[in-house]
This record gives sequence, structure tokens and C-alpha cells, in this order.
Amino acid sequence: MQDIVYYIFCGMCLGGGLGVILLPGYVNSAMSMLLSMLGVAGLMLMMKAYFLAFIMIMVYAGAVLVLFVFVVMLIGGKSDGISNIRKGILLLLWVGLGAVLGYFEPQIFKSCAVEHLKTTAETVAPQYVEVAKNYGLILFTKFMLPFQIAGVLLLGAMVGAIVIAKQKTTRKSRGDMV
Amino acid sequence: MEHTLNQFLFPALMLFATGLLGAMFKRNLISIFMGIELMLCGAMLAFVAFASVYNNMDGAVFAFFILTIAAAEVAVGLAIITRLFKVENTISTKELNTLGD
Repeated sequence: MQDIVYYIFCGMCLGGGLGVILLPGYVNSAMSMLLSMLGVAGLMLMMKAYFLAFIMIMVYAGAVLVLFVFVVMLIGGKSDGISNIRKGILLLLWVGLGAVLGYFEPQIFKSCAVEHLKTTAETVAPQYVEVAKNYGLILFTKFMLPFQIAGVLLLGAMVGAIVIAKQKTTRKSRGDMV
Repeated sequence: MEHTLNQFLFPALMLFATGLLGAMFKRNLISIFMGIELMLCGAMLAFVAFASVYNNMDGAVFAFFILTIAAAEVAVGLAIITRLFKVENTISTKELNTLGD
């Protein structure tokens, strides 16, 4: 049963990703991205990172994607899509990369990273990602500085976006471009 | 069924590869931006996979920070794109080549 759920979420994830790069039109791409994000959130649920999964749905599906669709509507829906030949190359590369990654990825992670991480996981006390309390604890102790920096970054991004939006310009016609 | 790391790293890597291909092949700024978002998403999935399998919170917290960065990046990036569209009247990278000449 869990296997089937895993494959469904995995398919949503990868199919959505493929839709983002292959479908013509911005809105189709945005909806594919939504599918992909939901798949990622589902995979996170399967890994028992419940808190992160729901934050992910809220931020990505609720904020980022709405922003994308908003800008698409503002700019205009027609997209200069890539040609069919380039699409073919893209699909071929994607399938090739999938085959290569699927074949080599278990070996790579078996040989280098895993053993080292296992010892550290045994020596320190385990912190379970399914407990939401752990996020608050670790954010305010071990990761205090990155947390503060993230706050300053958000403030800077907000001020920057406002400054960019407020400037007055005259529209340049395409013919004047040098 | 016990989940293994590889099961979750494969979709993460594929998502990253998809985003990278999209960012390289696409010809307009919004699509490139979507590719970058997919790349961030794949990286986040990999972080959470490691955190979950090894019962270590560090990766999960970094996924949190990636979420923050993604939100800030989208806000500023889309502001720049709308502004660029207002000034240049196009968002195609074929025509936005002023610095390349």
C-alpha cells in the first residue's frame, strides 16, 4: 500500500516537473508546478516531516504560485515556447539523466556519504523530524544566527521589491533598442 | 515498508535535473524562474530526506531556510521581471541581449 502511495507521489513530482519544462503556455506550466509541489509535499509526508510538508503547501502553493500566476496575468499569457526540436532534445536529455541517476545514485550514496552519517546519528541523541516542537527548539538555539539573517533577508527583499516597483520610467518602444 | 534514503533521493535529484534543464533550455524569464524554483524544491527534498532518515534536525531546519530564500527570491525576481517588461516590453531572453552585443 505504501509502495503505491510512494509511486503516486513520485509520479506527481516528476510528471509535474516535466510539465513545467515541456507544456506550452505559462498557466499550464504553473499548474504543473503546483502538481509537482503537491507531490513533493506528499513525499515529505511519507518521510514523516509533517510540519514541513504543510508549510511547503502553504508557502509554495499558497504564495509563490499565486505570485507566478499574478505576474503571468499581468504580463500577458502568450509565451514564446521553445521549438519542437528543442523539446525533443529536452525530453531525450531528461530521460537519459533519469536513467543515469537511477542507475548510479544508489552506488554513489552507498560508497561515500552514508557510513559517515550513520556514525554521527548513533553518537548524538536522535532528533525526530515528525515533532514540530523540535523545529522551534533548534531554530532558537543552534540556528539562531541563520534565523536572524533570514529575517533581515526577508526585510531586505521586501524593501527591494517596493523600491523596484515604485520607480517611474517611460516605456521604451522596441525600435529604439541599441 | 521501511523507507530507504535512495527512494527519496531519486525524485529529489530528478527534480533538480528537471529544473536545471528547464532553466537552460527555456527562452523566457518566467519559465527560467520556474525552473529555478524546481531546483530549490529538489534541494529541499534532499535535505528533508537526509534529515528524516538519520533522525537529525539540521537538514529539516535548512529546508526551512530554503523555503524562506525561495519566497524572497520569487518576490524580488518577479518584481524585476514586471519592471523589465514595463521598460523593454519583452521578457524573451532572445531579445534582451543589450549586454551581449
